[in-house]
Amino acid sequence: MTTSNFTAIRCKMLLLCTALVSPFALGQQTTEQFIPIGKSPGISDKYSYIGVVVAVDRDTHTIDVQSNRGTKTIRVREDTRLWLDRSKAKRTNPDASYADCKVGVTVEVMYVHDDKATADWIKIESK
Amino acid sequence: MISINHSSKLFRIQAKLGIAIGLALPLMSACQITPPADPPTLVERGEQIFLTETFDGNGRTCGSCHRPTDNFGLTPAFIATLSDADPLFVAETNPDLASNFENPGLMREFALILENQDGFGDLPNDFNMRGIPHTLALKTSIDSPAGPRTGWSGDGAPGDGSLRSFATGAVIQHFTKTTNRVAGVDFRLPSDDELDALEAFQLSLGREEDLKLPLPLKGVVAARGQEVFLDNTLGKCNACHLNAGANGDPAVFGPNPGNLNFNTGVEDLSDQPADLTGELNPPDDGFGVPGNGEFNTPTLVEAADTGPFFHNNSVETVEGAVAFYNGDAFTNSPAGQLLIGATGSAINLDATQVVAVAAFLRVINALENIRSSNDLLDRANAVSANSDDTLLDRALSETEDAHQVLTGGGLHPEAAAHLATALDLIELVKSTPDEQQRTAYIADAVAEQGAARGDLSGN
Repeated sequence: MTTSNFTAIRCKMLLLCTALVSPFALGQQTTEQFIPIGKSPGISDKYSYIGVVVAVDRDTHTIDVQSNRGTKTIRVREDTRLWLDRSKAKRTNPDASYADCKVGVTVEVMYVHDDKATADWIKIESK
Repeated sequence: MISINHSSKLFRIQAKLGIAIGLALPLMSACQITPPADPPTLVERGEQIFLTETFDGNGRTCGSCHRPTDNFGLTPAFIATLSDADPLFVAETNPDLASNFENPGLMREFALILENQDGFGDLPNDFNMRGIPHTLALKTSIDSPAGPRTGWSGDGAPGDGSLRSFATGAVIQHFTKTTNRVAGVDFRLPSDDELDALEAFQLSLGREEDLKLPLPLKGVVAARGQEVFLDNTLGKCNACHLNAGANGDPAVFGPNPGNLNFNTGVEDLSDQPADLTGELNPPDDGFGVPGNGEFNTPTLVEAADTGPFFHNNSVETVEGAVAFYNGDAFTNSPAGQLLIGATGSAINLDATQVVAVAAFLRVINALENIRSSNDLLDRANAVSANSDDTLLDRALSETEDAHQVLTGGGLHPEAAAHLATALDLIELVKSTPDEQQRTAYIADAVAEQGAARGDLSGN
């Protein structure tokens, strides 16, 4: 049998591979919950914004984050993961919601690889 | 008038100096200044962290689960040799971890550990039981165009998903003092330097490049198994395990496919050992949250001595693992259906062909064990007889594995005999303080293993 018989596989796998455009598509989505703001390996300050929420727009489901990279408007999607970071208070980090994004809170926002205006995950500093 | 005789005074000073020097010289030679030892290399530092650093957690280290003399994995047989006080069993000894951290029964019987792969929101019900994969040949097995694939479902590391970041997730999941998992309280996160060192150490383990098949194998059964393995009409194994590694075949998947994930239907096996115990064992949905049912492709060169097989340790023997691809679970899986669509048929090996492929996997594993053991012996030969036996113990375990892998398949009795002799010689090395004799024994052990290799393959 020649390799041409595997053409179907090749097409399907190529389709699958191109769907995974982010180099972080394979990053784990669960233990990240317990990594404090600023400590995500290979992510913090490279592919995230760390700063303060200065505006919240519940109509557009966005937050404005002021960081050392300026002020960015970030879209919070339904599949954006949010957690409270209570590590400074020596408490566990539970899941959070968009409602926890309030003006004045410190956050870290990892943006989606090919869309820096959309949040992949958000950690919200809390007590 | 008293005159001072300067020359006699000078003489007395000189004499005193001479006496002082005469006394000091023996002392100086006795107190020879030892040059400071070379600082550890990054790999050495990584090894030290891997084996000894607890990250202020529950007492476990990376080496608690990834045992150097168990191919940097962990099997039920090895677990049975451990003291009850071993940190591996912290769920049995620490009241704060008695619930929702491990299942001691499944750990001891099947070497399964608990992973909260889909999150920590429902600890009693939302978990998976997975085997502990080895960390050998990572240089060859984790890269893909979509990013590095770590762990059983290819998404094992937090942060950027890299091997470097993997340790951070492992500390959070497995090293915590309580299930609160508070950084700075239940554990400390690895520093950047520690992550660098751990990555370097892990990448140093095992093979650094893939084989180039076909090998000139001397045994007729293993040679036939290699043919079946490479035959895209018969075994079809090489498509996903190029050169018996962990990467896809570019001829099948396009240029540089790297390491791939597949849903091969392992979760559909009807009598998974963990399920037979009656313990809660939720289905494992693989990659992503929620999972897509796909799991990562492991290397096959390292397979024969690192069972049980698959992410849930559901198949004990390499023959059973090969036979899995004949069964309904694989045939009806997305990967199986893809293969049928592309090739016109399912994998349908008869018993002799299953055994032949398994024999091939046993022989290439033995060859790798021999290579690794000889490398470790050479490194042991370069250090003093007073050094610890870590390198020798690892060499011994590699040679033992090579011996067991061949004898377990009824293969190459003459090679097995050479390996048995090598085992005896390595034991002699461990008990011999004389450097010259150690070197001689090591040379003999290496030669015996070379003879074994010559029985298995023409190169």
